[in-house]
Amino acid sequence: MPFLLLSTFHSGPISGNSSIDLSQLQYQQLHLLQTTTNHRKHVVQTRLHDAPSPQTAHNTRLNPHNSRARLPYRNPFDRSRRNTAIHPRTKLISTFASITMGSNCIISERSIIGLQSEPENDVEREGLVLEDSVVVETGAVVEARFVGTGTTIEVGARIGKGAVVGKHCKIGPLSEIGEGEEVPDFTVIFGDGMRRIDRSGVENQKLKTIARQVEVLRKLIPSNLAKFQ
Amino acid sequence: MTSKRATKGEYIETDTGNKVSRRSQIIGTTNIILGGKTVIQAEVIIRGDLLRAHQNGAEKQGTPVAVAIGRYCFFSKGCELRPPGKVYKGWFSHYPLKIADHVFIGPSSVIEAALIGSHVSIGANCTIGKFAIIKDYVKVLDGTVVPPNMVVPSFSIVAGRPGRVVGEIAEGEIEGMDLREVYRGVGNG
Repeated sequence: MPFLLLSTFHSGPISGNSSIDLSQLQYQQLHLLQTTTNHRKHVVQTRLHDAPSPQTAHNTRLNPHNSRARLPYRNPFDRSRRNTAIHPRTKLISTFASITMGSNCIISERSIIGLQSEPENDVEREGLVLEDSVVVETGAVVEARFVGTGTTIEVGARIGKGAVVGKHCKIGPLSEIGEGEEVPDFTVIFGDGMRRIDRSGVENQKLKTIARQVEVLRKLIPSNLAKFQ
Repeated sequence: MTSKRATKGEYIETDTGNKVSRRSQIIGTTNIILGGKTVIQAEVIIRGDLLRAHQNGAEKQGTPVAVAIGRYCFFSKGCELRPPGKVYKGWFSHYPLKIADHVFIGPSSVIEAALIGSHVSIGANCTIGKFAIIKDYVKVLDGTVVPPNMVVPSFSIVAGRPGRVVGEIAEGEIEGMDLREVYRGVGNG
């Protein structure tokens, strides 16, 4: 199976060839070294900088950029924060800035998360924060500085560098948000860049739906943790 | 990238005449039904792992199906088939994605429809929303975003973001939507 392998070297169970439990990785920095190797296997390595030296997965080229930044993490065993599903075909790029993810996020295949070029100012350098229950669908590209709780980024949407997306937004398919743009809470971007504010008050229901979806993904996609430890 | 396998030819041909690229990513193969004579090009993703969830206690019956595809379908490079999911009666579940015969999907399109009828042609870079139903003889032009739950009637042309019916398929155009010739043109030769 041409799956991408994720491996982690701390006590955190971020591995298995599919759904990943980030319970112990919340608020830690995920430093993902993302490389393409041969077409059958696509290996990503996750390294926590406090962790002991990584066991090198075969075929992985370590990225020298990653050896800097050492960020302390809070609460490594905070069990209340967990349940993020990251598809193995996702690219998480932390070469230029860190990525922090909340709980109950769903990151679909082919999406690209993280800065793809050098940050231009200190705010961008602080990295990318996805709050809880953020859904990133297939093929979306997220370079934002911040994405608020309950926001859905739909198929093929692109969020520019340094952008700030508020809570409970919906970024429609193939839409784009420019660099440094700020999108207020409850915004729906649809069609050809049209916007409206959705105050229908169904946020809690949506959050529940996402939580259920994560549960289902956890059941559907095997996470063979032992294999990667 | 080169590998020893690639020299054997890009496509694997199955007993029922499906031509599946070695570089496609088909996940959950046991839950996918291919009707035969279907072409799957490189970098296509088919998410057969997104199965229908069964409520606690209720045992699944028969063979589970996530994606059902008819005959003479053509999936271009980089497109993706993904069964849609929703909450129904308090349970989140994915539902099967059904595709009939002679369906063409253009490059880099993402399909999350519930049903796609026969002789449907979907262009490049389209997004077909969750639980959309596309009936027979429909043409979806390049870059269209078909919204979730939309039902596209037969013989219509759909375009735009969000997708709207912009025209009708004429009687004479129907013959051009047969994919038998396209299928024959694909191969290792």
